Amino acid sequence: MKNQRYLLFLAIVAILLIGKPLFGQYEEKAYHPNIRMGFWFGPVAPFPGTEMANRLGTYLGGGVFGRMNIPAIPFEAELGISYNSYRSDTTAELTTIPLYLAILYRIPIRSELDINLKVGGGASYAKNFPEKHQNILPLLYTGFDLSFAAGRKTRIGLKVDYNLLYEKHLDIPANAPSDYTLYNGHMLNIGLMLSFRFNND
Amino acid sequence: MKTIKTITLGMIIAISACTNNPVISDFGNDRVTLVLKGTYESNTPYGWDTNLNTSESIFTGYAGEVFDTQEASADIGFYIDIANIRIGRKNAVPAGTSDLDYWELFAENRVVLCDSNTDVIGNNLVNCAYGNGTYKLNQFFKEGFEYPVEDIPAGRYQHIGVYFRKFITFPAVLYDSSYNEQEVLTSIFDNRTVYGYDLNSQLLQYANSDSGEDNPLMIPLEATNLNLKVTDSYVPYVIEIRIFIKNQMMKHVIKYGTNTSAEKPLTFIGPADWRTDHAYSGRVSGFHLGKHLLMTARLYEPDNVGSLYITEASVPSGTATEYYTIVKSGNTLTAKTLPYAATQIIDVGGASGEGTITNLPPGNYKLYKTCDAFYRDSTGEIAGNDGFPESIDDLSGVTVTITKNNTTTQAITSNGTCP
Repeated sequence: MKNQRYLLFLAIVAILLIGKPLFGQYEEKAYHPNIRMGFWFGPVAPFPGTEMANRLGTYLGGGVFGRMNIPAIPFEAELGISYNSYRSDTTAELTTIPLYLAILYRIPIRSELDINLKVGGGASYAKNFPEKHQNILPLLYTGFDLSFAAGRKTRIGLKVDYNLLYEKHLDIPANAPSDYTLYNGHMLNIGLMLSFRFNND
Repeated sequence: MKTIKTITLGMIIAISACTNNPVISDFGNDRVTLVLKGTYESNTPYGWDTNLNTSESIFTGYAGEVFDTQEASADIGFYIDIANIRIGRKNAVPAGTSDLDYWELFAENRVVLCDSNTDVIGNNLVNCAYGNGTYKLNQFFKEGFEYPVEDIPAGRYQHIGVYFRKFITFPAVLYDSSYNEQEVLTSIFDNRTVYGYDLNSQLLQYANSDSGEDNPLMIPLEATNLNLKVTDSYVPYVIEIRIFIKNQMMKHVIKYGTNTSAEKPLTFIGPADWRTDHAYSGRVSGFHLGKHLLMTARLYEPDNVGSLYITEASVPSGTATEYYTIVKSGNTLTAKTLPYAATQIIDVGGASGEGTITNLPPGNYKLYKTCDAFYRDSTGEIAGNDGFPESIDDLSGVTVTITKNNTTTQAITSNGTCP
């Protein structure tokens, strides 16, 4: 009985997703990757209220990203890499280079303003000062961006990213004191972004 | 396709580069603890000596006048505002290097030490109240308080600078020309008015040396030959900074005013004039107390220390004028430096004394006994007390070896320099 309900639910979802070409009277376009490339820069800081926020301040970060349509409409894919330096007035400093792959969902509102929601993951290189310890950490990536068209091929916007640098899976270092506590990194990167479209459609 | 291959290859390289070093967690796990003490002793400091020492000029300058020279140490007070503490690898900022490039700003937070949480009319001193200022001042003169601090890179450090914003002591009283109390001086602290006199500008200037008047000595108050070694590991360590304030404070009197006819006596509390005579009559140089405060610092790893237990079968004074002190082997204690570590001498009865110095890294140390047997006037050192233990008894060259987790016992015999 439970399985039947589940199947019914799946069927409804499937009909809604593919229903438009079935019931609607419009011409289905062929899949087109529609590749866009862009860059961003802006203030990066530890997420307010976390342990790191007491140690590190706001500094400038920046990165590049590429986006393309994927056959699973309405989703898109984004691949990005950035360089973030979280500094402070003291000796403490953290550098991260996150590389992520994310799925984008554009909120379907007819407007000049595009709103994308993003979720994904990847890995991030991280190096701290003054200890100079470095590692590659698993990365959970989520965020959103707002953008509007500035001409046929250019978009200008604002992006807000949250990076979770996962570290609690690591063992406590061999020679560390027994009360050594593991923390995850929660980072908030906000940037102005500019992206360009390369094809003519 | 080529792009996908490159990305895959990059990810394989990235994953293979993984180590077990936490990176983020290091920020939440500080290795260093910074302890700030206002005492000559590193262990078991004396309480406040009963009577405050007085500048000799208080007698000779206004002989027979009404100043209260028998002020109790318990009646004096402090408001101290520390801006930050920095650490450096050399003895001084090299020429052509900016201060910011030279110093590791490892304790950037301001800390206030307060005698009370209210100003002269009863308003709250906000930073004193929220920063636990009265508790910290109390601890400062006992076992020290913990200063908020960040880790520093591994290496050797020679230089520590403590940056003071305010160094206010009270009471400070201005008298009229008939030597009656005219005004109790006030200063600004924590944006409000408190009783006391800010000695910061006095401590900035060399005593009795016009050529050095503008040389900054208080900002920072510094020690330059520390040789602190920070290892590249996870082992916690403590940096202990000692500033000799307690029990070397003195009541001074000077002529205060802009010209001879307007001169009035001012009494204030400041460090003893053990280095150069504090001349009551010099309107300018009488105020200059630079280099009369000393500081030092040492570093130890609490998991790798031993203790020293000293016994002496002689008559100890049991007052804040005698100390057991040690320096690292190869160094010599001089009258114008603070020892590596020191303790009070406890009178155990039967004409014998003892003292214990803890938190000593393993190694060889030279043992000394120091005492205060002189004060200074314009003619030089005279038998008496000013609070500063300038007399050094080398105990005929006793050297001790400290080992990890052990207490080394050492019996000593005074060579007669100190009673």
